[in-house]
Amino acid sequence: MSLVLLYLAALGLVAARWLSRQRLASKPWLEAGPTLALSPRPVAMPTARLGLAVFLAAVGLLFMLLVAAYTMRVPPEIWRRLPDPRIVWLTTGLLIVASLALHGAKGAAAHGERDGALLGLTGAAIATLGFIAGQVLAWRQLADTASVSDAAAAFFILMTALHALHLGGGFVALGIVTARSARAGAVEDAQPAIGLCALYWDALLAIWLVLFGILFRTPWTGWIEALCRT
Amino acid sequence: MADAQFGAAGALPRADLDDVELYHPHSWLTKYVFSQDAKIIAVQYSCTALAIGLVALVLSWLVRLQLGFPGVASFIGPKEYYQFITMHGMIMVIYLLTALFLGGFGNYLIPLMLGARDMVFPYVNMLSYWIYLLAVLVLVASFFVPGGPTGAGWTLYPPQAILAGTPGQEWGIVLMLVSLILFIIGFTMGGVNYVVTVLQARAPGMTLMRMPLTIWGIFTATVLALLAFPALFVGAVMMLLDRLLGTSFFMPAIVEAGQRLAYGGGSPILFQHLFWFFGHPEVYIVALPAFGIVSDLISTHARKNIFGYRMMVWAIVAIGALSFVVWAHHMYVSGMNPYFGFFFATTTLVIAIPTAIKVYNWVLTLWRGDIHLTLPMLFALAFIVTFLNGGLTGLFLGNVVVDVPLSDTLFVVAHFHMVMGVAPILVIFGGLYHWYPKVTGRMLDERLGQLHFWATFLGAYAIFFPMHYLGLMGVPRRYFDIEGLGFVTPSVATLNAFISIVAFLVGAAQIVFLVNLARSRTHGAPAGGNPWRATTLEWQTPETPPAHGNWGRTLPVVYRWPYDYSVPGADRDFVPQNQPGLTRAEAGAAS
Repeated sequence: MSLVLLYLAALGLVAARWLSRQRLASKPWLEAGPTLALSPRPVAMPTARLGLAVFLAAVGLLFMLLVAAYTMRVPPEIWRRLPDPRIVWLTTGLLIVASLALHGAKGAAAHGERDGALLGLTGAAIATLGFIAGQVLAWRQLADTASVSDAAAAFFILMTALHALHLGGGFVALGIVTARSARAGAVEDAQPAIGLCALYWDALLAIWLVLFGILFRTPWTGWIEALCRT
Repeated sequence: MADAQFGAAGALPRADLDDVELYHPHSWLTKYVFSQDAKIIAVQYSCTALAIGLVALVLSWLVRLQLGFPGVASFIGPKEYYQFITMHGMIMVIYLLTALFLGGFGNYLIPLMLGARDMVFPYVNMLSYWIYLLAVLVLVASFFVPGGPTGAGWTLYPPQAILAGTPGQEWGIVLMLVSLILFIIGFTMGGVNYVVTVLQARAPGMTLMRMPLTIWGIFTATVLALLAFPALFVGAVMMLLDRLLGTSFFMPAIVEAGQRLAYGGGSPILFQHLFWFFGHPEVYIVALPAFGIVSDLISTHARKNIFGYRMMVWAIVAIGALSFVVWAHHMYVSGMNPYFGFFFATTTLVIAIPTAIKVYNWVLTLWRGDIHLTLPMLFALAFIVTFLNGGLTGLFLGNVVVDVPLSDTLFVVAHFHMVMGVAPILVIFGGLYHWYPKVTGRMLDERLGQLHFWATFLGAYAIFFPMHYLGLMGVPRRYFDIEGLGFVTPSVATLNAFISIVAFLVGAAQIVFLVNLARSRTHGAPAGGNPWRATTLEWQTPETPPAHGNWGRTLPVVYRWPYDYSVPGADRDFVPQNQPGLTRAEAGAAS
């Protein structure tokens, strides 16, 4: 559970930093008048973005718990012994492409370039579909070499399925944002929503890289392993 | 003083109606059924939680019937008994307490107490309720499937939870897990709403340190829940896969009815870690809103400012943070490393410090207060002594050497019923008596309320206080029948019968309460806008019950903290948060 506690500690640091700016040592019983020392909106972030960030914090913990469960359930000697379906490297690349495409779309929307924004959004959608299809192929490849009673394989299926479900939910939102971007009078209006998609995809990419690193042998596996054994 | 003058250049944001962001219903269906108004959603959550709570109440009657009078009810066999205790526990903890505190009180009070028009994501808020209702229906459906609901115990420990021989192994456990997964999805939608509304939608002038402690409690509990429920989600999904697909996340190699099952290598202890990583914060998910509400009830009905507001806030935050590093005190008998036991015993005892600060501050708030023994105040006082009682026995169980012999005895049952069953429910009642006039515009009947209070308070003590002694005698929990156990004396049966009779009466008193709720809706005395002469914003709405949008054309502006009671020099013995004027410091200097 050390990885989970580290994750919680990181969230706690963010919360503590924010709380330290909220004058928690003030004496409200001595003060009257509309306090203006603090903005009534102390979180300098649009509401929707903050809502997504809070949601992603919970989603991140969910996957950290899965990683913790993996390290507790799967004996260390068989960690990363899963046959590495090569296609997983390709799907990882596709997810990176999707994330980059969304950032491109966000930039294009900010400059009022509707075609560029739509190109980025469509590219992200295609890359995401490719990612999910590739994961399904990886499941089939794995099914040929491992059984459900194989704990590492079961974790692979569980982790990737939950990850794909989250991505699927995001895909619905991406479709709505794409449609709105196509219809919006000024594409700049869609830029915040595209930014939310980019944030969501970035988070799911980061989560996938952690899952990839714990399930298979990757250049960053040692880092994750070190964190798990802290 | 860090304040600036209202109206100064570049000062407060517009407080007039931002019509674009406010959702307006267009039909009866969207106004009262698929409503996006947090107040309606709060009532929906509360009614659903109370309805399923009634099921849990009946189940507890049946459990007590068997324990007090074994064999009298022929329809209760061991299978049914385990199903009843399992469903009673899960319904009370998740579907009643969590849903009512966060979905009910949270939805009603967060926007109103903060001076907001609604939650920041009303549509998601509506979905949250309907998914919660679906979760409840799935849970109830398990009573009607072959094999009935699961009887695995509310902790659902594997491997027995999904093995043949455990009641509900066929469908009951599946529906329970699906229901929990749905509940967590629904709660997450609501939880994100509560947190972001507190952070982003407060009225001008409502700084964090001017928020009522009710909001601090609900806010912190919601953060805990958002971080704790994922563990239950992961555990439920993994167990569902073990049950349906034959994976072995939690299932070790095992022989069932002489046959070796296909499972192997799974870790039941892993489930316990996941369950209690959720389970212990869950105690505070229930307790923190109760702490907050009881603070406001005591201050309002003692006509005195809360003692140690800052400490109360810090204690809520500290308890929330500490609650994530105590979970394994539920697992002392699982065979953990003794050093871990020492660590978790230490963190468990440390959490008593901020908790004790809160209890002292409640008592010091009462000290020399103008105490009005209204129904909300009676319930608040009852909470303090009950929580203190349950908390002190928690100190026993937090110590490894004391916990080990007491584990799985009725002492544990008595402890957790006192501290996270009876105590929070007393606050729920206090809160309902307090805010019912705002929700409906009418007062609850005082005489029925007094009957309800005394029967509940004295009855709960008559049930759970002697139960500690049964536990100390070694009477085990979860036993269908304790007859024939050599160490159980005949007096245990007598005491069990007494407890059961009281439990029936206490249960009947809850029916009185429900009748009062329903009858007062139309027959209660008109309440007016602020019957308790309270300071917080929800009592300052232009209409009672508050209309859609809560505040008419302009949002309130907050000028002070929420506990300005009995301010020297003030016209009345309370100064509402949205009233400009004399500060407590200035008043003190003047007098």
